[in-house]
Amino acid sequence: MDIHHTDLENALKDDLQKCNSQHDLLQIKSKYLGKKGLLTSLFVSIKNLDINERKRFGIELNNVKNILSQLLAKKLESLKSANDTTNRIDLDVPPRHHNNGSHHPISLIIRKIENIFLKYGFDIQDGPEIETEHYNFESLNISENHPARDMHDTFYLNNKLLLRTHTSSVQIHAMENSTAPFRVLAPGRVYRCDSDPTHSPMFHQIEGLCVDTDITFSNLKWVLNNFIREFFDSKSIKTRFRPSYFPFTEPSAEMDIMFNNKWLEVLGCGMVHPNVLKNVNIDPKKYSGFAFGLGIERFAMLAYQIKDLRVFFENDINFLEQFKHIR
Amino acid sequence: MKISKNWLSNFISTPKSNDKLESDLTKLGLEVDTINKNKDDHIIDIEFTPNRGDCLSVYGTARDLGAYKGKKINKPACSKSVTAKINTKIKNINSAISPEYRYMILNNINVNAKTPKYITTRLRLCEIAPVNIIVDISNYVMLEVGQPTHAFDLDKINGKLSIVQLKKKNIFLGIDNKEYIVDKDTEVIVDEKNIIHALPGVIGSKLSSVTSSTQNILFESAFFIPDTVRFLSRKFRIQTDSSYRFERGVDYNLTDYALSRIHFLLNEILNIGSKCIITKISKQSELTKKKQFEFDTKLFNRILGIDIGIKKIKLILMNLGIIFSGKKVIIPSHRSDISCNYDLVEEVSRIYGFDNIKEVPLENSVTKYYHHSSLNVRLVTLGYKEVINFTFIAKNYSEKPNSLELSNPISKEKSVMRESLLPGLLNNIVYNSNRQHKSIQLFERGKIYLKDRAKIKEPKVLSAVVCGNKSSLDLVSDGYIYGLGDLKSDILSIFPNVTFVRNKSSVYFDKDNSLSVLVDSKVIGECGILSSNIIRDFNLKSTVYAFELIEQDFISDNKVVFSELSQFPSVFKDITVVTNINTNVSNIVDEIKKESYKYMKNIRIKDIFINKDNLKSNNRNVTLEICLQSDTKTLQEKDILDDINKVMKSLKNKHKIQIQEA
Repeated sequence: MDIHHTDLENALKDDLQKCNSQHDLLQIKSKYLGKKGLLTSLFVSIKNLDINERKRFGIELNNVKNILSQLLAKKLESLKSANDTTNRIDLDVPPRHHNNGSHHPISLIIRKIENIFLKYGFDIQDGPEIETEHYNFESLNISENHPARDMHDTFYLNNKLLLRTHTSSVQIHAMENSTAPFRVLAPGRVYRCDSDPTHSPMFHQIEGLCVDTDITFSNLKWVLNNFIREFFDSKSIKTRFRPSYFPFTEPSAEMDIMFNNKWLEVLGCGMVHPNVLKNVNIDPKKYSGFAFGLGIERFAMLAYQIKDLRVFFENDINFLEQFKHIR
Repeated sequence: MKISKNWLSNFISTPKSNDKLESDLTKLGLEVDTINKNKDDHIIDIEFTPNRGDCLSVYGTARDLGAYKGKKINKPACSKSVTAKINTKIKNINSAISPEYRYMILNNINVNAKTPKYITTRLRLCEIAPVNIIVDISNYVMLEVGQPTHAFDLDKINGKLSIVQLKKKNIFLGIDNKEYIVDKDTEVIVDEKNIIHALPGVIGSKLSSVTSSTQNILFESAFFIPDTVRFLSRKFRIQTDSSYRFERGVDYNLTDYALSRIHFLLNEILNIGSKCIITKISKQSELTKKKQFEFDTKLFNRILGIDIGIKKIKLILMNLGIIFSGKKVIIPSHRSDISCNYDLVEEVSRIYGFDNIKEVPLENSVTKYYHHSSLNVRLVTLGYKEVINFTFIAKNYSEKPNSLELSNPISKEKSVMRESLLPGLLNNIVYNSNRQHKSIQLFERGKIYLKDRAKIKEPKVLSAVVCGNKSSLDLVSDGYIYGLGDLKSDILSIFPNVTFVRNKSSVYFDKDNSLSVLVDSKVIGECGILSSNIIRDFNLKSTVYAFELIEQDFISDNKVVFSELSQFPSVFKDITVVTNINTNVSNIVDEIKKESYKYMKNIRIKDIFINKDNLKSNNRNVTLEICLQSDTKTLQEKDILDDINKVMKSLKNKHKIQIQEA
């Protein structure tokens, strides 16, 4: 007599595949291994064999029984663990000890502008915020009775010290502390004695200075146009330069961009005034340069469509959190 | 400044389209704020830059537009004048106040005659209220050609006038009806009885102003030194149409013309006779000298980066009234702002147009690298939000009151330069907890301002605060209490090689619950719990953890020297000690690290727990974990015991620490 143990095994596998519960599994178990089960009936049939056959068949049946038992046990395990949650992690668990960190939008804009100018070979520099009249005004060609001082409502400390009204003062420090050529970018806080929805007593500027033996207004246009295109991520953004006046540059210009079909002033710039170069012992016959200055808040307001300047310094978490996805 | 479009059109044809007019003016650097319709006229509001004193009139603006379009603009008609033979009314003039002084005497004037409507209309359009025929004509001519003039009631002047520095402190009553105390040495126009009749170029006196009863008039037209006028205007805080123009530089050659023009208009209206006699007093001054210098043809290309061509350059400059004489250029008297070739470059670029200058790349652009923001990235990753606060605060808490105070602050809350970023951050906590935020974790990077004797220092500082639940109110994190361990962990994530020692004293932190932060045994800041006094000052109730570190003192060490890896297993052994909370175990661990052991690789505090029995005595159990490893062999029990016993001996004998028996 031959047993088709592989047939039994496959039959059981088929049954187990369809089985979804422990109850069904018990029934399957009894179908094969129960008192009247398929395998049991084979065991019963042993007694009909002759003595030599009995032994061989017995061993073979036991092997089959082991295989079937293992299959059933494995299935039982998997059914059990499917219902057992002790080893499961709860996938709905909220993030633990998590706070949304975020960069301040002013920092983000400074970083963005810095990264653009780093590509043009500019170095980042820092300068003092508490300044003398000399660095903030005189060395920049703004004498004591210059009408341009009207545009700078200055905060004063004792001893003729003041809070710098623009980052242009860093131009002087940069040129005094090193030798030409220069490519310097100086971001920082500046102060004007003025406070209303469109003016903050403290705000941020970035000053740029580039001095070398052959720097021209054409270079200035190239650098600033490329900067604007990159900042606003638009090759087609329209810009214009129009004549203006700053005592420390000549010619001086304001740069406008076309924004919502209107010209919008974004920065002041110009060729470094020969008097400024002379003030720091740089020969204007040998060197020329350009400088520019821009207000960070203006760029941040354009970039993030912010309308009220004051929101930058209230530091409301609901405001700060809006920048959490920028790393 | 407001200019009537119709009036401007009397001098030069203006485009019908206001957009075109605006664009023309803007291209010239005369920034147009608005052009608004007003009845059958348009008002052009131009924001002139402070260098363009020559444009502060209808004629001046037309002249600049004319230069742009290549058209010469003529001045309006005026009376033919003769120079007076004797000076009857001026005694003394200081050339540092007025190097060019003119006056005209008008007798028996009908001051009550009506000013023609076209004049009052134009005055009103420019926001000047009509007063009487004399004042109106004076203002009209100022708006028309830019020369401020002043009419004195001749009969109110005692003797002769002097334009000098005041000899004795006096009081001055201005036409603005305000009394001013005028100190000695102030520049004034004063008569022989020491009555002040004007602050020169700024404002006239109420006493000698032209009123309905005035009959005889002294009409002044002068060139006042810009610095003097500006000084007076700032000192007395008076800005007038006159001071505004003088500060920015009025054409020094315009004084005669202005009086003749006034005479012409008055004669038209009042029929005062064609005889216009002007008394002239001139003094030497650098500012009224004819300006000339050698022309530098090469500078244009060198600064602008384009070759415009000498012919074109000369044409532009000649249209601006500049005269070429041999190698030299002569600058017209109305352009006080032009004094060197660079100024000419600016003029040429302005008229030629920045639009016509091509872009040229900067040579040798090499990308630079910079890592300032990596600190921010680390803090943000740790869950801190960046804030930016005003650098002026209400008060500092430092022990030595050495504060840098503003002499003209916006408010008392913004009057002292900060010596710490913590007051600003505490304000941020207050602001946000009032808005229902329960988990506040903020940082700021910025400067603090310190006065070190005469020197001012502005170190860069990084400060952070943690207040409330570290995370929002989720049940999973509930019961978790933020502690010093978290703060230390945050600091080490930002600055990996700092160490901590106990604080001896502190301004902002609770002395017993804070630590000094060190790099290479140099203190760079503090961390821990903020002092309850300061917390109370800000009306806060909860504990605030904080750290404040000076960035400049933090030198990041980028050097690494690789050490060979051991091929043998390491062994970890724990020792538990019982110590009082005041015992500085961290310090002892650091000491033991410095001692020499054969196999000890590291020792650290693994755990701190308080045994209930020890609660009262303030004792706690500290478990130290010791890591042992050899580079050459697997450690035997004896090797391990030797080192462990040595550590225990050091703890017991040297550091007097009780060891918990196993």
